Amino acid sequence: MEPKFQILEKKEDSIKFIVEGIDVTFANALRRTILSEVPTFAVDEVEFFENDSALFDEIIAHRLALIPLKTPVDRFSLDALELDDHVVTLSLEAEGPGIVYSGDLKSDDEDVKPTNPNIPIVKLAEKQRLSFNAYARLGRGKDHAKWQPGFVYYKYLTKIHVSKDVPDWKELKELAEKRKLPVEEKEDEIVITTTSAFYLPRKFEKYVGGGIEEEVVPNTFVFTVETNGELPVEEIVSIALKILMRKSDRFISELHKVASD
Amino acid sequence: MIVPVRCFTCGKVLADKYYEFKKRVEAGEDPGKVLDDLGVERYCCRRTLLSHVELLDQVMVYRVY
Repeated sequence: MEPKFQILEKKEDSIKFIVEGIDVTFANALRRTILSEVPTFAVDEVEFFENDSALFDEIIAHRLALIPLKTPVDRFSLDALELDDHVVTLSLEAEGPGIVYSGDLKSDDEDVKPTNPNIPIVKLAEKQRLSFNAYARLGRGKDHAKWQPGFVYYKYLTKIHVSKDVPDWKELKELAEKRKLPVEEKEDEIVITTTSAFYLPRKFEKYVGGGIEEEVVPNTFVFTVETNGELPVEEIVSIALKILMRKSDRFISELHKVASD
Repeated sequence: MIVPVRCFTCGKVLADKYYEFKKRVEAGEDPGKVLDDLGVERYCCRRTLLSHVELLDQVMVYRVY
């Protein structure tokens, strides 16, 4: 069966969609590929010239690494299995008093710079100085979480059947509508489609199995993908799928090699 | 010491929201509502912001060496 996509919600930094026609193994493979294989830029090495601040060099280097850097999609082949070896230098020179923000970093590459200029890096007191060069490289989430492009999770799509024999079923209907879940009213029951998490209030727990049934829609998953800003969300999903495809291709060709020996 | 750049658990960038959060809470707004407003949805991120204590201001007046 051809997988079907349906986009439920699209925001600037997140997307929510239903995929129909894939199994758990594939859903999980997609999730794991997004988290550990989609490459992004992150600070990997920092050279300090001066640091009078109260934070150690290592702490500042760690904070720098966690700042998301814009990763140009069209300039690098992000879906390749080998990473491009490209180093971007971010430099900074500051003197206190004041807060040093990610926006103060000067990049030698216009396309690779902090996506968010308001992240505080360190606070400097009077006369304290900070200057360093930070080197950003492409990397993958499997090596360090600083290279993760964002965050993903999925859930099974389920339908909750609530019989009208259950007292106060109207309450559940209102609750589901408040959570913006699609509710279908039939002659003797209501059907709630859980496009996001829906927890039964405790007073209804005793009807589960008698009056309230949860039906898992087979092979259908609700995915949520969030980006830290390095890459647009749709790009994250499409790059992950391409990487997954390339890895499978490589696996098949290795198998052929083994078989022909 | 200073605000964590990201949520310890999920990795969402939070540091940019902290000073606004602090300012608004000190002005008397309800912390929960401010977090909702800032788009901090999951409870892992909420506790990271909510439980942070900014100690750097006290420490930074002393020279380290």
